Amino acid sequence: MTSTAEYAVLAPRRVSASVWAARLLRGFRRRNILLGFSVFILLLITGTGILAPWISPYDPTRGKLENQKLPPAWIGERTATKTVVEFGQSPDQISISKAKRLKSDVVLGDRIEVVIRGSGRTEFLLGTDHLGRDMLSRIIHGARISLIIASVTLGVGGLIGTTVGLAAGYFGGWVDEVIMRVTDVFLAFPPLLLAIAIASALGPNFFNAILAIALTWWPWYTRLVRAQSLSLRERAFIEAAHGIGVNDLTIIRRHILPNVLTPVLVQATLDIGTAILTAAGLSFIGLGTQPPTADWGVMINIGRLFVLGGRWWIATFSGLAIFLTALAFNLLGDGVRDAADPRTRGADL
Amino acid sequence: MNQPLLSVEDLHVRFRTPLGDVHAIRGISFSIERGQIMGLVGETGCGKSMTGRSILRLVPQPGEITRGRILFEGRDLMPLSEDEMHKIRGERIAMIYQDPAAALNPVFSIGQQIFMVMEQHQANSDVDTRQRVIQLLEDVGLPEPMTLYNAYPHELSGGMQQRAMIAMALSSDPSLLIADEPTTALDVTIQAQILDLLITLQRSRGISILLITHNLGIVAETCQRVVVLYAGRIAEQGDVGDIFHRPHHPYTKGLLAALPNPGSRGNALNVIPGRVPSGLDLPPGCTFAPRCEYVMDHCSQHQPGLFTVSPSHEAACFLHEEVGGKKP
Amino acid sequence: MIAIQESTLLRAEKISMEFVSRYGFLGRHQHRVRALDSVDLEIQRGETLGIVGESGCGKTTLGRCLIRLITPTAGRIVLDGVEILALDASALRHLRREMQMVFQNPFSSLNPRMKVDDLVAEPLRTHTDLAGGALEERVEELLVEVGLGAEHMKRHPHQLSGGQAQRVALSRALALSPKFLVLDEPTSALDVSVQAQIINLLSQLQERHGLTYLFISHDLSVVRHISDRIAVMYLGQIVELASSDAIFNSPQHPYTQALISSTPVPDPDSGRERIILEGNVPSPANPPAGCRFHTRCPYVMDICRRQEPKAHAVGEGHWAACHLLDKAPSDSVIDLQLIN
Repeated sequence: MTSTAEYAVLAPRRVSASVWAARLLRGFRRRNILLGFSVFILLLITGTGILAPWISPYDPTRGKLENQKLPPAWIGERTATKTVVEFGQSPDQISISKAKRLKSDVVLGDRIEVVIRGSGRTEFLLGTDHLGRDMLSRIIHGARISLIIASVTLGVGGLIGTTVGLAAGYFGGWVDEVIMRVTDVFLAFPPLLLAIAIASALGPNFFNAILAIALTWWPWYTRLVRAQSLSLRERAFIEAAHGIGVNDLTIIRRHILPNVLTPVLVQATLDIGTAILTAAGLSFIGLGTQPPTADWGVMINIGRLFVLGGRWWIATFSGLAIFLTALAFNLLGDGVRDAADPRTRGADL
Repeated sequence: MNQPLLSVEDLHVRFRTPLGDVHAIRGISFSIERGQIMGLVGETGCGKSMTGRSILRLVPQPGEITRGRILFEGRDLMPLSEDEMHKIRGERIAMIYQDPAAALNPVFSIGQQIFMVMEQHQANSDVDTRQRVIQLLEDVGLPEPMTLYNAYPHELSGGMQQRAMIAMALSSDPSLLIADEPTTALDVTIQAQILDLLITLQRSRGISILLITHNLGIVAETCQRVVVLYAGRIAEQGDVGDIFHRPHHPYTKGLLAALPNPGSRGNALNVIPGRVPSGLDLPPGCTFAPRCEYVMDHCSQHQPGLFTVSPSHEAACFLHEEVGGKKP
Repeated sequence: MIAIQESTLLRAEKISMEFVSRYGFLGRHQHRVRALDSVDLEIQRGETLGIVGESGCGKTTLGRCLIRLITPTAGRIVLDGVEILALDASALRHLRREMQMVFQNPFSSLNPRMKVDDLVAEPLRTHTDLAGGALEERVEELLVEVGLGAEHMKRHPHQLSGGQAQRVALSRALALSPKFLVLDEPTSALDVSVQAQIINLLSQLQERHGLTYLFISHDLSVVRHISDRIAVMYLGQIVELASSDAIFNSPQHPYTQALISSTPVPDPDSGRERIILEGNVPSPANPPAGCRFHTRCPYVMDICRRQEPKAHAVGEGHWAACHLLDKAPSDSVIDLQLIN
């Protein structure tokens, strides 16, 4: 419509990198608290992930049994009254055999005072797990694992997806038809279910988990890149390049790829959180990273066994780490999308 | 009835952008008589479309009308509430656009859309309204109006869509029609049909039309009065003969000379050097001075007002200061 | 071998282009649009041939077919002795240096992410071994040629005005010293004052390099200004072909007459009688039988609905396809030519 033509002279038609950065900043200001928070968390996680071997206080895979199941440092020594039962089931019960060791004359149904042993110590800030390993060290190393998983899966998935998507969108015809039907097959399964199937078929380990996630991920990028290339292919500058005699590969590399990269990056940022969650999910059900590796998913899986026994910290801190990381990446992804999306951009002329 | 239908007085529109304030319209005044077709002509970014939108107070964000009066049928539109404006927009002033396909709702038939507009503004029985819609479709020259009543926008060609838009615009019998580049998206033979229709409507219904266009040929063949805009100001305004036969502003002269004409083949066309200045960075003094072949020292410091060349003709150029004397 | 005169640069015979789009499950239904129907055309060295017509008439398709940006479904095209429809992909890429195209909107025909120097260097990198300083020098030379300078080299297209961007597109087209340029509405997206600058530049370049132009436009006054000969197209066919003066002074086809009379002229007192055509251009997917123009023609006769008209020579180098010309005996046609 004419209005766009009118705007044209008011401001430069398209916007340069500096203005793009300004837009991202404006986005930050608009939701400064949330985005500032997410950037802070991400810097923290990335920093600890990279520096893990140097900053973690203990070896994450070795602990002393005498330190097992220590609560976080801020929980001091305390006493509790427990009922003596045949087999201890809940935090306010104690089994008769254990009780006999404390006081020889107890009988079933008695209530006795118990001093909770091994209370929080400053050397284990977030407590220890059932093998006496330092939770803080494990979470720091877990950040490393999570970041590796996220970047490798999205890297592999993105690379496959982009390449295949470019081919489908640019060449069209039967190439497109074949590729699209293959993606249809992949997309017909719920992603986690597919990842579980692939991981269990390949055997549970760290590498296979990454492969499984990457394999569930690429069709999304293929679809995205294909749609972009399809519309780019019709743009006059592609036809102009044909007219000059540029060959297909050069056209894809020089003219199409740079124009599809932005949406792929935006999508990838939005997907990091989900990739980490998926990896944690696989580890949680035992199909991903295997113990004793310090992986957040593995830690939750083990920790859940002790929650009912009152040792909530083993699962909680790793869960919190996953939650914060996923949240922070999603918030950042929203910010990046807003900065790149011409519709949310339109408002600033 | 010697009061003009519409007069715009000292209109200013400003856009606040991250890169600075853009003064899209800087003091435009003109008026349209009843039953007149007036052309608003200029190049991209001169503010012609924005002027049309300002009359309806439809300046898009982050733009705003910072100053000026819009007197329509003797009433200033600026202080009106949004509700009152809404009535003016639908009933007294109608607008048609360059791209009728975008302005029509794809999920309703042509007849339904016009029906809904009419229903909003007047209380008649459904049968009467339907009859009137069909009459309107016939008035704007659509063949088989009974059939077209039930046709959807995508089933119509561009020219027919524009006719349907005009029918919708006429449905409340407005006294002013703002046509923003109504034929730019159409082929020449269809353009001729639509322009012919506009002239017919002006003659038969006495409607006034503000025709916004970049095409000087259309202005010459359709309009009685012309306003030439350059970078948000009026360069020259006058009767159509004044502008095309006796142009006084160097910009108008340059524009007319830049058009290819039957005798120009083999010769270079006249060019206006340079380019339209950015709205962010306007030169002081006369905006056209940097491109003007008659530029004087005076021009780069002072902004010329409109000087009277003849009773019907004004030009914003210091060359004509002595000819007419300053306008009060 | 087709006998071709020395002065002919390009000769096209019976060019047809049919676009087929498939829809429905597994593409079982087809939608065929015949954009070009047996078009014959000859272009002389150093001339400008204008193509005019309304949207859907096939003028842009014709331009693309002539330099094989799209391959026509039938016909022969000989450019400077080379039959270009017979070339394989790599030979065609090689021949691209001889024939170039300039598009309507420079902001869409220039990759928004590339800088001006890279844009202009692209054809040179593709077809020559120029590199480094020599490449840069040639790029600057080309920019100066179209009225730009070194200061524009590091800019992105969006930092240029419409006129400047179209100049960049022109310098890209000129980079390989082509013989033949297809100009597809090169000034339609530009304002009047800039349009004049580009038209003048095109004329200068043609003179300097001996270029041959195919100038496609819907704007008759621009085409008249720049063209030596003009072809008028309607629904995939050329309905009239003649010198620029002959087309405007003695148009023979009713469509040409209507087209000329529909074009507004910037003169309020021209007092011309406008021929206003009824109805719309029919869809090229389903063109009318007989003469394709018969549904809108003010002089329609019975025969027009049944039989396609043949091209008649109505004067020296002046052809028109209309049944109105059937009746005229050949000598009266010559009279007509003498009068004009």
